[in-house]
Amino acid sequence: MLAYSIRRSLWALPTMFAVLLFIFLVMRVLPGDPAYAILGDEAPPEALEQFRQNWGLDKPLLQQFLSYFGGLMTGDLGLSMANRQPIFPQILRALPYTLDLTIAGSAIGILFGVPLGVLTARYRNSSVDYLGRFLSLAGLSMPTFYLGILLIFFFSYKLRWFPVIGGGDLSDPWSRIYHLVLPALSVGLSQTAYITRITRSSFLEVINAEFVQTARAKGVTEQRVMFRHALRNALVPIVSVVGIYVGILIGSSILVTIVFNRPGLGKLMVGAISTHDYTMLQSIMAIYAGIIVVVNLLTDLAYGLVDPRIRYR
Amino acid sequence: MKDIGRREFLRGLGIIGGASVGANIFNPHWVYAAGTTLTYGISSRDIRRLDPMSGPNSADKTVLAAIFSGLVRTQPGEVNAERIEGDLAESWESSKDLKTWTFKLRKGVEFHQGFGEFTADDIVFSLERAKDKKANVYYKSYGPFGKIEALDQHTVRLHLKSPQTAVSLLPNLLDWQAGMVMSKKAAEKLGDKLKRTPIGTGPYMFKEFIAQEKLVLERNDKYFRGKPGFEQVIFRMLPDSSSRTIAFKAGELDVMDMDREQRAIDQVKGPGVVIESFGPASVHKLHMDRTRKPLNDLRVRQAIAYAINRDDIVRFIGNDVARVIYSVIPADFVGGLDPVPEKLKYRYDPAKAKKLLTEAGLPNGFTLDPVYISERPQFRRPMEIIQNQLAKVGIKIGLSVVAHPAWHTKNDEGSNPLILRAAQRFPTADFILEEFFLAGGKRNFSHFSGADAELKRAQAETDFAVQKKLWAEAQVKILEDLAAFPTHVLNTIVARKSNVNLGFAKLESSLTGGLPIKWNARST
Repeated sequence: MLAYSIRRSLWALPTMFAVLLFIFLVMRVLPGDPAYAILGDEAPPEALEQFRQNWGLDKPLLQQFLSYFGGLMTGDLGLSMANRQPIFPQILRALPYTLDLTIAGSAIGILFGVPLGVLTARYRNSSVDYLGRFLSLAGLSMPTFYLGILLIFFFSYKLRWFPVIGGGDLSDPWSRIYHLVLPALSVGLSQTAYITRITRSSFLEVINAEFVQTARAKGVTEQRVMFRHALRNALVPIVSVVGIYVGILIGSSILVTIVFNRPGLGKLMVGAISTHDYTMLQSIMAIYAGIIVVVNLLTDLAYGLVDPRIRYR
Repeated sequence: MKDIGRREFLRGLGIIGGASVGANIFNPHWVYAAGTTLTYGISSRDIRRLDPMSGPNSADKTVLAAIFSGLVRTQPGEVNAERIEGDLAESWESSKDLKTWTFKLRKGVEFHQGFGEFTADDIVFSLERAKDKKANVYYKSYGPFGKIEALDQHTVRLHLKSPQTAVSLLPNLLDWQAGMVMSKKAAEKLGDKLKRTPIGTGPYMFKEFIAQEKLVLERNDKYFRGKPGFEQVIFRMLPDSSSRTIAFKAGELDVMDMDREQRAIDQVKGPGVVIESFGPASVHKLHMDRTRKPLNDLRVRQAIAYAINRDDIVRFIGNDVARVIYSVIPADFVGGLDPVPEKLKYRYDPAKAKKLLTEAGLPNGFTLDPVYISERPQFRRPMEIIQNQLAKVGIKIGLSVVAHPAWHTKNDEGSNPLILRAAQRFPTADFILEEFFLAGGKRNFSHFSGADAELKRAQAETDFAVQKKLWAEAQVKILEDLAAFPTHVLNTIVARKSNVNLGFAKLESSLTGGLPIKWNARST
């Protein structure tokens, strides 16, 4: 399994390189001058000139890419063009907030989605099923940021139970949870909807399989049939969907991050795009690509845990 | 002791989690420091420059102005170059020829974080740095500065290469841009970190900066004008205006930046809220490229001017925010043309516009395509109104909406024939006149040189009254030639809770473009 992991990681390297090159080029094709985007309308022409020189934007593209790539290889992400602070600590600081939200959102999704999926499948075409399917359809159709705004409006503005802005104090877990509740809910509820649907369809397939009927026929209790026999076998597609979604979530939580003014990779990224902060955006994308590769690897490994027939060589 | 099983552990965790969330629900404001913390929600995505000489934008300057002092300062609540008073300098005198200026410095002023007493050496250091092209992006303003010498610990003499009146010289010594006095000792000790570590003598000290999230200042108890009013000032970067507004209404912010639109004001105003609408006004003017056909014909430029109804633009934006102007320097700026001759006001007259077009040999009008405009509502909306009005006299404009920085690139490379450019500058005439209307300037979008003589003479003039006259003459020439057609000005809009005491009676103007927080220090 170790050899497999290493081999998979090595395969990811060319992908990473392609992603980095792509981002590097796309940033530079975008119209607009980072000097203006960063220094603002009031900056004197001399300031803009100085900026371009300081950041080597007047040098040939290849030279710019080599110096960026060289820095990356030596683990030096350099300074953000926008605020001149070192990039790595900024990302390091944003990362826990992103992970909090991703983990909490996925946890809510799994915690509610799997049982709801099982229930709707088990009591197929009953009122429970209709209600569950209606809710999950509603959850899927509603964009997470819109749900976020609704939650802010009721729970923060009207009832004043939760804060509107920020992600809480990193060193204070309660403050972190307090600030996490609404954003996690808005991410988690749409996750719930998705996982409910996947669980339901995967469960329906299994529930009529012969081995389930055999289990019932030999007198196994219904509870045991459901959880021991059916659910276990239905898990493989669920795991792969959750895995893909954790990856997507890291990216799609951007909108939620903005609505709640939460620090996080998403917010850093949007800021970097809007100010044409090349150095910052390139670093974030490198890290994103890295995370996606790791998540995919972990998902692959998780198959082995839920399905003993899968072996890695 | 009994082992805790997995189930018990999970159950316990649930109870603790639930209880803590529950507790918070009943005490929702526990995370916010009570008392005299001021929380200011700024619209800027980030604080970008903490070195006053590196080209800070308006949000950066608002932060820096609370940290640094200048040799001189404006009267609280206004920006007027004729009424500047001493700050780190107690008094000053100039030689007859206005080429030698001697400043007596305040004694017993301390720099933050233990960087010692402020002396003449710090002034010499700061002004030498201001002259340095590499360190200061505003170095051009310090071009006339010659030798700067410390006569003793508390006296500085400034030799100028050419004479400057107080109105021209003193704005460069304000607590603004490169006039902010930096510590020589801090520069020596911090080296490259100085750019990220502002050390000044102002009422608030830099404490913490978290990118795209917040910047925290704390009170400088040793501030030379007495104890500052807030223990802590937190700037929160909240670029999304709707969530900023909700946060303000929910009580999480004491002050917030607002969009420059009537609609935004109407949404927020109410009991307990004060809307501050202040200058220096952002001057909007329509530059016309005089080298481009058919704009090279004065009659065509006049036709454009007569075809534009400025009242429509102001009515659209709202009266609490916008105002019509008739000269490129508003009448309330020092050196603004007042009154503007009736003929040069180019009041709305579409019939006259059509007549002028016919005279210019364009009875059916003409087409300008493409004309680029920024996607930002501040520029796009007035330009769409102008597009509509011009269409009525037969001038068709193909508007191409582009990203804001891309628009600047188009303007600077000279590929945009009509530019509705805004400039929020120091409210003395020479700032805008020299930047936009002096031949060879990078932002002389109109390629105009007709007022060079007046502007150059004004630079060298030692009599302020004559200087003012020359600025007025330059403005008349700009209007006669219609190098640019002045349309309107916008104020800056900030909302604050009415119980926030900022130490001024009426805020007319702010040097930084943000709400000034440095004036509520009281002597104890």
